[in-house]
Formats: sequence, C-alpha cells, structure tokens
Amino acid sequence: MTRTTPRRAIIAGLAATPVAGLPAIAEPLPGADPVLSALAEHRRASAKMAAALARSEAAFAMVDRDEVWKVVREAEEAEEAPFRALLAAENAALVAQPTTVAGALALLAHVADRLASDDLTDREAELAPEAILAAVAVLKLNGGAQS
Amino acid sequence: MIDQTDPALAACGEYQRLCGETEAAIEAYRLAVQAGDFKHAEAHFSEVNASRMAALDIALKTRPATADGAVALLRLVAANAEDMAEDPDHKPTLIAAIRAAADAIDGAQQ
Repeated sequence: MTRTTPRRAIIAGLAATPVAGLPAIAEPLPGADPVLSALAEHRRASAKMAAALARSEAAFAMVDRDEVWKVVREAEEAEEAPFRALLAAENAALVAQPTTVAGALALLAHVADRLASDDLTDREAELAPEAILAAVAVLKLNGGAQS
Repeated sequence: MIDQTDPALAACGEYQRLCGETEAAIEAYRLAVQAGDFKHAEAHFSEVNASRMAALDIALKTRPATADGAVALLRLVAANAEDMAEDPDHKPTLIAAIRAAADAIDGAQQ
C-alpha cells in the first residue's frame, strides 16, 4: 500500500507552527547530535510547507470561478518543492543516528509525535522501529541498561 | 534473570516467555497436523497465543521504573511498532509506551 501525505491535511498538523516570516527555529550547534540537526531541518521544512499551503489557501479565497483550475495548478506547482523537502526531512529525521541521550530522547519524542499524526506515511511507519532501536543503542551505552 | 524491581522488566519478561511458549505451540500444532489429529494442539495454540497478546498489552501499558525497564519496553515497542501503527485500537498504547519509556529515561538522567 502506498500512502502519500495529503497536503491539505498537513495544515491541521502544522497549525501550531508559526508561518508568517518563518520565525527563527532553534538551531543545534555545529557538530551537535545528528538527530537534533535532522529534527531542526524537519521543523524548517514543516514551516515552509505550511507557508506554501497558507499562500495557496489565500489564493483560493480570492480566485474567480473561471480561473480556479489555473490557480489550483499554480498552487500545486508551488507546493511541490516544499512538499518533497518535507518528505525528505521526515525520512531523514527517522534515519538519523543519535549520539547523545538528548538526541535519543528527542528521536523517541519525534517517533511518538509522528505515530500520533494523522499524516503518518507508510515509510515513516516502516522506519519507526529502526529509529526506536537506534535510540535504544545510545541509551544502553549511556544508561548502563543491563538487558 | 528478570529484575522484579521494575514492573516493566517483569512484564516484558513475561511477554518474552509467552512468545517462546507460542513458538512451541506452533511447532506442536505443525506436528499434530502431520499426524492428522490437531484439535487439541490447535486449542492449545489459541490459548497460549491469547495469553501472549494479553501479556503484550499489559507490558505496553506498564510504566517502567528504571532505564533498564525503559529499554526493554522500547525493544518491545520496536518489535511491534509497524503492525500496531496500522491498528487504530493499539496505536495509542504504542505511542503512550514510547512516551512512558522516554519519561523514565529522562527521569533517570535527572
């Protein structure tokens, strides 16, 4: 089964993401845990996707009936790049290997958030177990887990 | 040896034990089918498998008290994540288990 992320549905998922001007997103320091960098990129891609969708919604609200298909086509084209970037960032976040406990915990929180999301993709569902085990590997190294 | 001081470790251990019993029941069922009399083996498998599924549900709902328990819980989650993510009845349990494990580890770090 192939499931793609419905673009309109993303709006709801990103409702909490500020859009106007894409405000600064906390950046991990250079050399930081790869998971933290990947999650920052995911937040950036989510914000850009939300902005593209907001522009589309605004255009739809103003369009004349005769021009609707033209506007829809333009909106689809404008959304394509941020949509692909978001999918890539979603995958990258789940395959990033944590190197710190903070990264492992952030990865677990991200996995839980994505599993809870209405726009979870099949690929994310496939990657979730490996992401959890990647977090476990770091936690075992740092937490002294015996099992 | 299972550390009984963490309920999550005990619950995960019980699930693993029942996984072993289920595998043995499947093998017994396979042999019984070959022998042509599988009714008893089929009933035994159904019983053991139901116990295994119940143990999985309990383990996923047990909050770990230690980092070791959290790691055991996360391994259990990882082993079942892909299937349970597709199941709306079980998905909330899966998500709650991940958050509970992360909380336990975070707490152990403090």
